[in-house]
Order: sequence, then structure tokens, then C-alpha cells
Amino acid sequence: MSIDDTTLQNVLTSGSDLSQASLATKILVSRLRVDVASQPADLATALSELKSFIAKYPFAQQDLRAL
Amino acid sequence: MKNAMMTVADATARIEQGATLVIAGDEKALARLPKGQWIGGTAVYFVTETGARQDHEMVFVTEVAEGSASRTRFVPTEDLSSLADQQFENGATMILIPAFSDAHQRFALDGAGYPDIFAQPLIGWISGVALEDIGEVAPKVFDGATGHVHEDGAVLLHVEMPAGRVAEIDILNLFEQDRESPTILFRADGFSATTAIINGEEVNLAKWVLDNNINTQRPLVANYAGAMINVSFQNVDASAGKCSFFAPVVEGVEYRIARNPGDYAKVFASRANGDGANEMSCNCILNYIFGELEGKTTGTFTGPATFGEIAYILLNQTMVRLRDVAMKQSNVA
Repeated sequence: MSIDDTTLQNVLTSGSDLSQASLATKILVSRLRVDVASQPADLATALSELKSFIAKYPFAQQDLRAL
Repeated sequence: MKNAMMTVADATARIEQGATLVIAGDEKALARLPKGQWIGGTAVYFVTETGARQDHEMVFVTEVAEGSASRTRFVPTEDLSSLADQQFENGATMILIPAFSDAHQRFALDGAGYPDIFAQPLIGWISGVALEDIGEVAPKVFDGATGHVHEDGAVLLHVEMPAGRVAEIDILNLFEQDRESPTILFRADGFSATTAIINGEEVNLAKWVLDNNINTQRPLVANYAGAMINVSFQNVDASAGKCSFFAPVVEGVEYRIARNPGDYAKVFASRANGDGANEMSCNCILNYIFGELEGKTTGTFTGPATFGEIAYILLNQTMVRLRDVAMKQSNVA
């Protein structure tokens, strides 16, 4: 089951902790959040990178599906 | 994985028996080891089962589980972006980089963007020297397979996990953000800064630190989606109006000064859950010094006290740990 874009956009635009996520996912999401915060117009680019990360690494899908 | 402080003779025996090892020790001790399946880095401060100490004779050895496939590799600084190449499909990578080298700088600034950096656990540390030798002796890393010694670049040990097992990486950081600290932001990434935006106002950071009697033994702490990531102060130069750090600050990331963690050794021992004897771990030289660890025990987690820790990215004042767990139990990279 894929994670919908709205959920992922919320991950990128909120400051919420991903307490149960792996360290790798936390680091990547943090970097993307900084990108989006400084350039809101880059949200689509950040979303695309996050989706690629999830597609590539099953652990990331597990991390974010738990939200 | 298992850990032991041992003599050079004992480490030599394990190498000659074909063991796969990550070794920390004084440069002269490492130089006496034979070629084999190992990587090493200079370090003379150790957290051991019998207490933290400085040691120039013995070496600290982490042994990868027998039967695991592995390969060592030296990566020059200009090729660091390829460090995830040659990884095993189900594995982990150990990495050692000399302090103060170009590789140290480049990895710290660029590492999070390297291709496939998050594909599997990347753990390691920054090699160092005795504090009195800083500036006099260059920290080094050793590629045991070739016998080559390097003052720049990185040595890697790619390890394949045994069937049914997976590597799991984590950090233990006793520092948390002091919620009474102002927010601190930077306009650029870097190992130093002249100005910072403190509670929304751009000020000279060194002056602010001195005017406010900030305890620079405590790091700047950022919240990375629930992971506390430190940047430690290296120097506050009032005359130059500049602060330098042991890891880069990152533009746009919100930092706060850390709150006092209490008695480091006691708090560490109480929070370091698990069986450290069977994990690879290292802790920071700054925790060794500021936490006054010398002579104190901190539980089962032992290893070198290093000039920086690596868990995908460069960390400061943090313990990093790697263990192997049954595949079905793991939900992390």
C-alpha cells in the first residue's frame, strides 16, 4: 500500500517528530524540511525525493506508513 | 560482533587467524599489525570495561561475526561520493576518516547527499591523536589489506550480514535542547560562523556566547525529526569574532544550546540499554573529557573515544552503535 501525497506533504511541512522512524529517515526528512522551509516552492521537488527514497528503501516505507 | 581491548600480539593472532576487524590504537601499535582483513584508525583514548583510559600500547578491537563476507577499501577524498559502492546487498559499512583532513571536511559537509548513503547502516569515527599532539602529529587511518597508511581519505569495511540477520544502527545522545535557550540559526553551512540569527536577530555569535556566559562544553543541539544532533564548539575567538565547531552547522536548521545532562558517566550507564559487548560502538573524546570519564566505567558499551562519530553523517558528543539483529525484529536501516 502506497502512502498518499498529502500525508507525505504533511511530513515535509510539519515539525513533528518521527519517533519510531529509523535514523536514516529522520536525517533525510530533516534535510528536506529545511529545503522546503527556505524555499516553499520546492515542495514538489522535496516530495519527489521523499517518494523516491520510500520506493527504494523498504525500511523507509515502513517508517512512514506507521504515521 | 564482539569487542576487546587487547595486546598487539593478540590482535596479530586474530588477524592471522582470518578474523575481520576494526581496530583503534596508537599509530605505533597499529603499524606493528600484519596485513589482513582489517581497517584501523589512530586513537589513544578508550572506554573499557574496567574504566575509561588513555592507552598507547594496547588496541581496541571490534570483531565482525565469523563467516561474514567482507571487503576493505580505501577511498580518496575526491571519490567519497562513491562510498556506498561495493556494499553487500544485506550489510553494513564501517568507515574511518582522519581528523582535520580534507576528507573530514568534505564528508561532514557533503556526506548526507552522497548517492545511496542511507541504503544500509554506515557507522564509524574520526581518528585522532593524544590531545597534546594535536597540530604536531597527523591522525591516520590504516587499510589492513594493503598495509597502507593514510592521512586523508577514508578506509571502509563493507560487511555482509549473516543469513537471517540485519544490521541496525542507532545513536545515544545525552544532550537535549534546553527549551529556555534562544533559537539559533545560521545563514550558511560550515565549520565556523561569525554571525548567527538568535531569536530572530542577527548577532556576532562569539560576542553573544561570551556576553551570555554560554557553557561551550555543551553543544548546539538540533532536532532532526526526533533525533538530537549535536554540533560542538571547538573555539570561541573573541578578537576575530568567530566561533569554530567540530562539525558543520547547517543553514536553516534550528539549534538551541544543550541543557546540562548531569553526571555523564552515571546518566550514560543508565540510558545505554542493551548488550554493548556485542555491538560496535564509539563515543566522543569531548564526552570523555567534559564528562570526566577517565577511570570511570559506563556499562557494557566500550570503544574508542574519537574525534567525531559517524552514523550516516558526522556527529559530535554522541555514542553511535551498531548491532546485528534477527531480520524480522528490525525496522530500521
